[in-house]
Amino acid sequence: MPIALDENNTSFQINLREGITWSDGEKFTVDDVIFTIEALIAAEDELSEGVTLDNYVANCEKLDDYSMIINCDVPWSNITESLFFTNGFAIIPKHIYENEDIATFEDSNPVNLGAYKLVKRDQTSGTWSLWEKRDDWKNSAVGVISGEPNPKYILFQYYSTEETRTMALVNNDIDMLCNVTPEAYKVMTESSEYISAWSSEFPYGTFDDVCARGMKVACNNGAYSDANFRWALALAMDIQEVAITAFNGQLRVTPVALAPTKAMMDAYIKPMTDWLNDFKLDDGYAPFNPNYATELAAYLTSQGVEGLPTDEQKLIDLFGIGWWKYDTTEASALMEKAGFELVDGKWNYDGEPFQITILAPSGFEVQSERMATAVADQWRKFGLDVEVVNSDSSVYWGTFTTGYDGVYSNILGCGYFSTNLLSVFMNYKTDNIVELGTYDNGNNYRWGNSTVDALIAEMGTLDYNDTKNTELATQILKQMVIEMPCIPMYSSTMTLPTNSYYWTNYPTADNAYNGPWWWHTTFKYMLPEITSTGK
Amino acid sequence: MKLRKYFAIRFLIWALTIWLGVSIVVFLVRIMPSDPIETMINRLNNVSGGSTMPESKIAAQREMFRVQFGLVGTLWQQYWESMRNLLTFNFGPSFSSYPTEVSFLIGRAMPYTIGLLLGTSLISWVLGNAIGLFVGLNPRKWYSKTLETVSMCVYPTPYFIMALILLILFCYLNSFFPLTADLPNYFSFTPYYFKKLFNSFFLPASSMIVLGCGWWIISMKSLSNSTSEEDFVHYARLKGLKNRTISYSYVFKNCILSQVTALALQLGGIFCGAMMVEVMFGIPGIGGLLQMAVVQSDYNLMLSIITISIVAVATATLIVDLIYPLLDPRIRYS
Repeated sequence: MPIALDENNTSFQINLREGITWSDGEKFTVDDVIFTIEALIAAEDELSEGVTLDNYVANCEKLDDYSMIINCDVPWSNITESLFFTNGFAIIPKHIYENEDIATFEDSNPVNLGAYKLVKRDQTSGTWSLWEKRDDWKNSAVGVISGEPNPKYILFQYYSTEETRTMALVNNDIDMLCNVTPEAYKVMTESSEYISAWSSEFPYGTFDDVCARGMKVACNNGAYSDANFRWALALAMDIQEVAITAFNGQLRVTPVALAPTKAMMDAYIKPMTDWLNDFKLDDGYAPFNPNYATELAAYLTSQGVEGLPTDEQKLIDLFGIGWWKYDTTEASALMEKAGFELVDGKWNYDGEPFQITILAPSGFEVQSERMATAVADQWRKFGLDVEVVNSDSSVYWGTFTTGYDGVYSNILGCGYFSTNLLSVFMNYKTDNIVELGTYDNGNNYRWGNSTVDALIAEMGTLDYNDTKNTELATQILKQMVIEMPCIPMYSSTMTLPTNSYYWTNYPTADNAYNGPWWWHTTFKYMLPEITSTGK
Repeated sequence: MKLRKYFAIRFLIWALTIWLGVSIVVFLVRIMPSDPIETMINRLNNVSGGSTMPESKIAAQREMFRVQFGLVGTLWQQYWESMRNLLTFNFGPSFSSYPTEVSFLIGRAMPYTIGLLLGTSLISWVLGNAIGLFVGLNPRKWYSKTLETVSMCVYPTPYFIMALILLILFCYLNSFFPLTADLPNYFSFTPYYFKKLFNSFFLPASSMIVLGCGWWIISMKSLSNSTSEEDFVHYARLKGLKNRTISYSYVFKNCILSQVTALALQLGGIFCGAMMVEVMFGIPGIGGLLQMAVVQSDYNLMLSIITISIVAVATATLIVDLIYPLLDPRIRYS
């Protein structure tokens, strides 16, 4: 972790662990780190990863082989997240890249710092890669921190459809699988005794994923620019019905724009409960319903779901602290305040029938796809004319930063890794509000106000670990409740099946030595823990 | 003289078709509802972990892509430049696998697609037409009725269902074949290579032959059935010609003409790949490449595959036009 050397957060010391080598045996030192930073900045016209670095970094100084200093032009209090928690900054080996053009060099035989090295890969279409444990695994970060990883080989294999994936897992062809739908998981567990996921009881998957989901609008776009309308949309949906229709109730709600992981629940969401209970809209209406978890549990129990906790606090931990009431009367009042008019049971705006289109993914991001359909049903019942547009990933993700003229069923933000939320909020500045159709500079909602501007500016000057960060971020979250720039709904449900035929001791709720999402760095630290069954 | 004129006209039509098709492709980028350049910029900036790029940098990127897409200069300059690049198969780099050249990606995928589709198209054409002719000439026999009923049932089966049934039967319940294609990286003339090739292609090829046959059987059966009721066939029968002579010289030769046209058009279409087959069975061919291009908004790759298939379909039509007179004595280059 970078250590701040001055109060302004403009100078940081980085110390590397000694004794780590690249998989070709070369020593890993600060020369590699400095080389990477300088090469990326030099190539920033071609590689956008260099832009962030250039925005902050003035120069790097080498102290010795294992320690260095980064000097910045401007304060960079969230340097750790900017550099290491997102995928933008991958350190490259100086001894291989120094004579190459890093923007175009095809590194066909890559070296790495992990305990495994790439031995074979599919060169026809990239559907698999085979990794072998290094003889010198002791010189990798995993080797130093956790000891020897157990599997000799690791094969990453792509299967094109959920059907083939399911068959391969049941046939013991694969040990760990990516996220699956509740239906596929049911089929798998019924077909094989070896398959399980995070917990053996409902909801099987885990909700502690760092991405939140909900409905996004552009807050500078026609009718959507009125907060009354955005609030009306929130109150016009029965969140329990949406959860059940979309994902069998296997979701954790969040009334604030954060992924409701345990860390975020403890640091922000739960402490906001009293404020949310007291919160009133301009007309004095109190919109918060704190009983969501118990109501959903009662419904699920009546449907024959077993093994749910009975303790209210545990139910809140599982399903969330609550959400907005389903109140069409109040929603109608807010619609009228926003200039809508109910004509023959349909909402008109500016004298014309108003149509909402919801942009949803088609065949991927299943949770957002199903959420869109369920929300559309709710809004139609309320008298809105709603159309769901399912699109392929190029259109869907292409719209992520250019905005959508309508509602966008999407991830509201990923990366709630740390309780310091500066990285999440820093782009919600009024300066960054741009018209629909142009790149949004990170302000997806095209929203902001002077209060939030001031709060972000203040967070930027604080030390990364200063507890005041939490207080300021809570103020921003409150602003987001008041103005509802997006409608936050759920955590991401991650049902990641594992097969214990060949390997056991995967992380689970009862044995939570690590998180189950193996596409993050957690995977390499699972490898020393999982044990062979001898088959 | 007549012959030369016939060839000249056919070649002119061929060139016109390609010119029109590729012109549409060139203008496609300009009339697309989403701006491909903005999409590319989004993609790049999303990849970099949400870093905020200054407007000057974005403008530089935009300019770079405008050059890449051939969007600089006057409309006419852009048009001729793009035409020249597409027609010389100079497609530039792929955006999803930057900086790999599009032509390299297509060249790598093409053998699998051509092998699979050419093989299965020809096998199902020969097999389907043979069965169809047989059924059409013996319409009242029990085995003909059975074959016809089976092909009527198989033909409308959606490809996805057929593939899934085969996967469940031969990969899941019995592990005869791998669930997804497992091909060696490089061609080698070894039993190992051919075994892998066979294992990976047997099921996708079977599924295509079974479904492909269905159509040829049905169409050939109705053609031969109706032809054998024609007056000239009746006359031949009354003349006392042998059944075999009637079947071959009178019925088969007349029926096969339209089947050859249909086959040629189908062969022209194989350059588009068979997306569903390739995706379901994990075959690294053009169909899978096209799907990746669509999903990752790789416009260069998409446009290149479309261009190749325009040229292929036009050329297939040209070849049919040229060899048709050899098959049909009624047409003598007139």
